[in-house]
Amino acid sequence: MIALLLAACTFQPGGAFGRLDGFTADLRFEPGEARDLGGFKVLTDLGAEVQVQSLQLQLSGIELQEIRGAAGVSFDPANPPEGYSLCHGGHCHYEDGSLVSYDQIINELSGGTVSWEAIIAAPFDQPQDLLEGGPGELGLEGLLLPQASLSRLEIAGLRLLGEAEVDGRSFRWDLPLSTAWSTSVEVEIARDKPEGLALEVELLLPGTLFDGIDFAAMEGPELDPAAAESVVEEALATFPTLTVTRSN
Amino acid sequence: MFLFLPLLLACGDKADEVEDPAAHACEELGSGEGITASTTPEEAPALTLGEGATVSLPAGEAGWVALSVNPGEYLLFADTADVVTGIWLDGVELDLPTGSANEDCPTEIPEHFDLDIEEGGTYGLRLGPSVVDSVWLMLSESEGHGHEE
Repeated sequence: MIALLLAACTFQPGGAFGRLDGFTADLRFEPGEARDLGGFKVLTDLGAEVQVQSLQLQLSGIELQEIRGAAGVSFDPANPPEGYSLCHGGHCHYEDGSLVSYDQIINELSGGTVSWEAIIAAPFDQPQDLLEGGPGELGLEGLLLPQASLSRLEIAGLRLLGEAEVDGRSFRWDLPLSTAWSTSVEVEIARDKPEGLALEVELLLPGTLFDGIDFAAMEGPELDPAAAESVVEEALATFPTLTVTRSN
Repeated sequence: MFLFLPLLLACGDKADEVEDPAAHACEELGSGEGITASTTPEEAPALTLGEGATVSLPAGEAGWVALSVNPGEYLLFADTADVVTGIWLDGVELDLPTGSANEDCPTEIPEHFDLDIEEGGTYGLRLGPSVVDSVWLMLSESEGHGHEE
């Protein structure tokens, strides 16, 4: 079922610098060519065939944010701080092999003193069915926007719920998500730019979601703690993307 | 001074001198010889540094190729995501860095890995198990890659 959205924004009309012509989101499970056995059945790196029967994401909202309190924070992707390297595309490689987004690094460099203010916010109050995808238009068309430099896209997930069948056995999970999906973006809203903006957000949970899980070793039907941690880790390793189209 | 956004546009002179291997990989997509992945790491055929290869994969199980490298930073490109599933050295599985798309051609090369090799030797690269029957791979030195343009 398509999530019911409540339109909201922190900005009130009067002195608009931009107008939201569209704000859509596509949140879905995308197994990908290498793992897709069809019908939401995926092949894991351990050779298990996982028939996903349901997969839902509870989230509190999707926001485009502007940074606050960043004065004095110096972050140069071409000369990243110790422990980080090869910065490109909004993220750096950390020494443990993980990818870390610029906004997370900036937050770390600031000692946690920076904050992000939502300029565009679409709250959710119902789970999103990731097998169906969507929800599509978030209902903020026509929203007037203030002058701003949007630097972060954040998808605040709350829980990941689902059911699957592996070798005739049923498994289910209801996993709290400790952190949000976020990615660095660069969207200027200013008078010298075309007024209208259409924003498309995409978050694709990959077919590697169940990699590393030894389903045969689990007593089930609940995922054991190690498997639950692995699913959350795989899910949160995904970076959402933002596509911006400007018009007059 | 907050340097984040302004420096996204800055780039060192190094990138002007050396072609970014990510862009080079896009040009070389599909090139190189065809090899067949082994079903054991001991028999893995080696990828040639700087050259592409189309690797045929065994059905229903993991396949292996070898990376013979000196210490340094390398890039491994793949034309299909989620086929590369592990990297081993001397029978020990190492942490495979998180992959990400090649930004120069994200559709054609949806996954690349930045490999920071501290110890020279012959590494086993685990491929699959996968639904696809082949994958194009290219191993390159990383000089010229990774700086914002």
